[in-house]
Amino acid sequence: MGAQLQTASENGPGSTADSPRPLLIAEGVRKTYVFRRTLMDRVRRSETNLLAAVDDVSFTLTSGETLGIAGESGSGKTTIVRCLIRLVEPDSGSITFDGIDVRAASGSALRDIRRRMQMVFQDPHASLNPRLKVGACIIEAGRVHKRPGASNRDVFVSQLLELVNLPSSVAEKYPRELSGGQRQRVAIARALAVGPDVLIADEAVSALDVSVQAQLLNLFEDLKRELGLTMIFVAHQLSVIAQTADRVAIMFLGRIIELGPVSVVFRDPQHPYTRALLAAHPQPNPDQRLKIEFQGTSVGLDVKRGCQYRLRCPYAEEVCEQETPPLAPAGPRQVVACIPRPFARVGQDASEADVVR
Amino acid sequence: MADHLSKTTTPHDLLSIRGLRVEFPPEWAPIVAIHDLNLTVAPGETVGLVGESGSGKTMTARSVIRLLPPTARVTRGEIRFEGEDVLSADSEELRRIRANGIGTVFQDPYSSLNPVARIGDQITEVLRLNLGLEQGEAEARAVEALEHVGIPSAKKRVRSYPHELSGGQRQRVMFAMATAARPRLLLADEPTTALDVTTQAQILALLKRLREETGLATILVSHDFGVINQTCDTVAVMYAGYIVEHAPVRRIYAHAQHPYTLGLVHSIPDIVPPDRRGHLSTIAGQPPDLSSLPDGCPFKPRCSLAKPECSQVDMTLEAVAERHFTACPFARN
Repeated sequence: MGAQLQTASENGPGSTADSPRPLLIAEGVRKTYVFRRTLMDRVRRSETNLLAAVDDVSFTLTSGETLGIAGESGSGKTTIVRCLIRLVEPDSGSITFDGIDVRAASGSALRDIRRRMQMVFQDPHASLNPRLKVGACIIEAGRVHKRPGASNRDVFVSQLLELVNLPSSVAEKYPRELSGGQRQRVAIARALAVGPDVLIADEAVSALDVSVQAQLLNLFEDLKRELGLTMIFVAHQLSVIAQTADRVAIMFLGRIIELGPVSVVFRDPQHPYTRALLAAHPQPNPDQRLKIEFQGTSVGLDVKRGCQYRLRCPYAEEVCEQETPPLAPAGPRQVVACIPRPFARVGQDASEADVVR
Repeated sequence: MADHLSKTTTPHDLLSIRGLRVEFPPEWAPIVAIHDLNLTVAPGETVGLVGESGSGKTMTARSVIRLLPPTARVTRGEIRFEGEDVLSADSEELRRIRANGIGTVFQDPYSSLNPVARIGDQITEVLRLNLGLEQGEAEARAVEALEHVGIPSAKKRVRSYPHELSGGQRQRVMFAMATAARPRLLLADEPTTALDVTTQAQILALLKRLREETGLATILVSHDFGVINQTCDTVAVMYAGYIVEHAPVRRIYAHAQHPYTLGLVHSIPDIVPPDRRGHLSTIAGQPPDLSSLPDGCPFKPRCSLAKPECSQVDMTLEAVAERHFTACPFARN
């Protein structure tokens, strides 16, 4: 791999592996959408309908780790990662990336933030320009961000294609000539062309067949190790998170309801919703039958106070109606937003929860 | 082939597909979407069709009700539903089979429902046309059908439009429409793929309940081995238009024989996080290009056990155990 593809070492202090300082800090991020008011709403002077797509979300990202963000559709997992690079403008809260205030950044500072945090989207067919050959598409990304080495087009492109295990002949093809898995590799190569520190994969393997999906997951793992990348993996498939992430944040209707190491959260989930999600995963082993630990659907936007999940929760108590549960320590580096805590581990309490979030 | 058929075909089959071949005319490149496929469904049985995109699982299901894309041609074979020849049925016979013999549910309920008609009217229309019920009777049956699939306050819900329902509820409405005329066979093509995992679990439970209560036989098409293994009795694994392995779900999960099935089962990511992060096992190479398949076994270019003889393999299913068939002659020993 040529020097121009080195990423993590060139971008300042936050990106060294042994730095205790988190690379990215999100603090109380909120994004609310306003439903369009119909004429009848205006006549009736009814209240404006608000939808908090992301509601008071805080987390940190340490250099070199992979954070998984899981949740059902409408949980806000895509909105929060889009807020991180301001593809969506958050309403409030703060986002700090390597010491830089992301929300205040503009011009070249914002451009540099976006260079250092690159996104790979679900559908490479929509995110690649259909009229650009693969090579042109990769070199364009490199030129826009003035990457060293981008002047030597052929070497630059073939190095990047090699990095994602594609033959250099792919450079002369159009996206439509490639399979879904190959297109997604091109999208990754284009993201890597600008030398990012953080790769944000938003449902990047969801549209792929299972055999190709496994190839891509292995590729992400290799890239992370070879380039020292930090990753955010957004997925609704919990098994994908289980295989890729170090820590996981579970989201429900705009809030993080549980966060912790994947090995802890998936083996011993503390929030009833996390348990329901894990139980609903269809196991390939026919003898491990599905258990349904939930009722209703996640549609229910009129919960103004209290726990958003209480209407579906079989363990809901009166207190769940009164108070919005805060994220509280629940185990080793694990936090959970649930007041009754029906699955609390006996003999383990907050004293063990050293670093939270 | 004779071996496979003699063991699986009985006079009591609800559906039997024999030697089905579906081709696309060679305007650009000749493509055979389904190669000489044999499949039977017994009354009350749930058969899963699993495979990756382009494997022919949807084509197989759609050919059963002659709902293939306009350019596709059935060039060989026979499909019998309750003894009746589906492929040579005239439009009136076909209408009758689709009306009350075989129900269908597709992946996207939103595009299967009429967006400008109330869901009650849509179900009522199905019942009036297909079963010849009077308006009042059909309306009552529509409410009953919605209650049956677990739509709360069905009496009010019949007045809803599709956009007022959630994805899971829309799919329940599709199940209500597909089963309202009491069909004997249900074709469910990726019915939960567009849904969240918790909704998916509810729909799969509904499917199971409908089968248990009405003895409905089902062909379930899915790319997800988890969904198939949680729902089906037997599963046919498809690759490049061939069934490469066919067995009860427990056999497929624990004793798969065909290298493709093994690769597929092993590349499913586990929901339990690994103790040490390593590589997932994968199937090498790319999905097959249907316009240029190799001679013999289509999986040969990706197969770790491939040998020169694979070019001579004729892809007939042979028994390896009771009710367990595979097309790979080298996996069988």
